[in-house]
Amino acid sequence: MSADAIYLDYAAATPPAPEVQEFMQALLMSTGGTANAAATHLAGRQAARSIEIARGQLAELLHTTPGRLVFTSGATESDNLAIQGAAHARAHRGRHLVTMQTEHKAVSDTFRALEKAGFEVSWLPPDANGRLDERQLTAALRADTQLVSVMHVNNETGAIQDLAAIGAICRDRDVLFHTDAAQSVGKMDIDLSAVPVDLLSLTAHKFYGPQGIGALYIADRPGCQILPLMHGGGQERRLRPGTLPVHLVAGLGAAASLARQKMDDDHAHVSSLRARLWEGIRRVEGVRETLPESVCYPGILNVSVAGVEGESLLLALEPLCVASGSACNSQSGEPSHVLRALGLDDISIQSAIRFSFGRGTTAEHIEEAVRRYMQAVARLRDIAGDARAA
Amino acid sequence: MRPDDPYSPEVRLRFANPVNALPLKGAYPVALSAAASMPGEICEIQFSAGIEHGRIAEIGFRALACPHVIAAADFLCSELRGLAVSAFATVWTNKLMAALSIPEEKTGRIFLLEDALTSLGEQYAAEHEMG
Repeated sequence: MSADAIYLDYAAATPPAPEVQEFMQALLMSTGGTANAAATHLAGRQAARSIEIARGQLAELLHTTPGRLVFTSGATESDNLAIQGAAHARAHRGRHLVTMQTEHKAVSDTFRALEKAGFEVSWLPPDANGRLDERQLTAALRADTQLVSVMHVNNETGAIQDLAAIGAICRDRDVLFHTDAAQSVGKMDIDLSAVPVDLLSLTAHKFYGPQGIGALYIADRPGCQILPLMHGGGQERRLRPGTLPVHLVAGLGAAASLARQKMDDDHAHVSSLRARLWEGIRRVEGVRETLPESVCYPGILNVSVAGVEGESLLLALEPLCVASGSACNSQSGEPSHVLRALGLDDISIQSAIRFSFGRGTTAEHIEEAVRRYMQAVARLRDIAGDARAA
Repeated sequence: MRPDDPYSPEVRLRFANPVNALPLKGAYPVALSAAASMPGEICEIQFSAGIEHGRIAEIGFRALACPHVIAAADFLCSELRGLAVSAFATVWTNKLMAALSIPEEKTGRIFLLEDALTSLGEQYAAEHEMG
């Protein structure tokens, strides 16, 4: 990253915490940190021990037992394993599945693949606050419904779903409930001993751990079974075969441990930054907050503005590192399906910017972001002059 | 252009300081204005030109568009100033794409600039014939 870059894209990736980096580096220098954990010799046993310590650290963060956690390469793989694995494991009982229109591509594309494979999917819309209407969910469930997947915190808007309420509805109907919690694990307290979630996906690089490692939680209850996507070894209860990357797993564990300690402070920090940023940029004529903080995780602020072209806005904001209205679709250039589902028109969507904050964000970064945003919008409107669309 | 940068230095420079993004100043014997837009996309361009003795004495643009289009419009204005009105009918796209290292997927948007210039030329011809 360039020295003068101001990183406001924590929803895409958080930098590994210094404590996590140091821990991983030390592990990589040790024989036990680089051995194959499946080996029975001393180094292999040390590697296996590092992995089990990490599993325990993650279990503590989620208020569950270590045995319920399967390590994967990240949330996308966890989503695929959970959704495809559950759909196929329960296909003999029914082939109807339910999800939302505002899910991450890792979920929605997996459901689309299942549709092509003969499953039927109900795509529920969000309400005006980006949330799932529980009455709509209840109405969508059928005798042959096997799985509901609803993400915890939306990666583009920050909208928070009520896992307890959705989970209760699913349990009542004996339907499995999966949630993609990539944006909330390590940032919000998730008590899996109390919340009726059956399958939960997470990734380390959203909570100051390394990239390339994630996990899937699988509840210990009758009927909560999934089939593996890959075959080839006995690792991770045969659900996710392959040699585990010890240093990445250990880094995830260290990040989980750190997240437990810092969660309250982190939350207060991003909350104050979000308020400060919105207070600053709300003065721009025609700017709109996609969702209010009251329904969002405060580490994300999504805004759109009239009369400005999105790609130009993104370039004019440099060196701010922010996400465009197409967010995770930014390479495709397609307007965000999430913002579209919320009812935003294409003009607003293309100008939408997602700011997301974290431990490394300072008040000075926010002041600079406000200054640059105001300056960029004014400059682009000046260039547009009479050509400016309403 | 760095391989990880979608914008060439020329595009960055002109986008950062589009000196020709101005309304037409001064009075000219012939003042022309033409706009073009791309249906379904946020891409609108408007050129204004002042013509004196059959030459483009002044030209400016306005654009609600991506950085490539803004830079290309700015480049075009610099190139056109002082040329004969017939330059409005020149095929500019290939020159623009090469001079600014514009990616192929933006070709449609760059054509839009030519459309607007063609309109200016047609306007001039119409006024000239009438006058």
